[in-house]
Amino acid sequence: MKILDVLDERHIEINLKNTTKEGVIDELLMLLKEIPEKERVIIRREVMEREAIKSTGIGHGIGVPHTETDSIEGIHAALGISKKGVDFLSLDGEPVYILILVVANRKLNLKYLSLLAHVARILSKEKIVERLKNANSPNEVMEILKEVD
Amino acid sequence: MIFYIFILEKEEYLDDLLEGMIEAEIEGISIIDGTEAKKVLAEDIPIFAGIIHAIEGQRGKHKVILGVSENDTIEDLKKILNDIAPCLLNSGLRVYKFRVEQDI
Repeated sequence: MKILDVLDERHIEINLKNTTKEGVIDELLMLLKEIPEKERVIIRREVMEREAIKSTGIGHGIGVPHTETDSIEGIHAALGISKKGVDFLSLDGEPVYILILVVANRKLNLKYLSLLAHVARILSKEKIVERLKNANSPNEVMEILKEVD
Repeated sequence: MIFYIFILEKEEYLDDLLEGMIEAEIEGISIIDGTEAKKVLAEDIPIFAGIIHAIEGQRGKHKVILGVSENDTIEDLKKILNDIAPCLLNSGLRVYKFRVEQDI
């Protein structure tokens, strides 16, 4: 499964305002307008519980908060870019600039894991990360992702 | 359903291969430590001691990885490996695949 299978321009924020982990996760969740408020609250708790196990700040300025859940159907993703950097307790101790939130119904475990592996692979490319950090619009983010997707 | 057997001689690429398999939606993955028969023969049976040179340059150890997928995703896996560990497409990895039915 690829990120563009679940991401569109409505799910992208190129200038995240918050600089805390909780704050940016809230901002990313708000981009998933197709998920009702009640379910978003549950997912927020589940994402934070997953973060408590081990930070999803995987290093090199990347954060991929994610969770499996019973509260929604399908797989959803949101992408946020922080110009200031977010204290995400990353593995390398560095701030996070690119965040991709992935939430999936628990029954879709195979596609969920495939998507996480895909995201980790495309964001391991330094040039792509730099271009994403400097993107000026959601459309530009989509165009960059199309090149590597 | 497709059943795969991967023989990975370059064990240092195990993480890359596993990530690629996950992205290619291969599931039920199991990893088994393998030993090349030549290594056992060379070490245990004197008459075959001479064949040790045949496995020179490698440890005679490898990983055997089993997995299944609903559809054949080997072309997807090749594209991913070409990105993350292209050397595996030339040497150090053999892949066998079979169309099978799940019984139980």
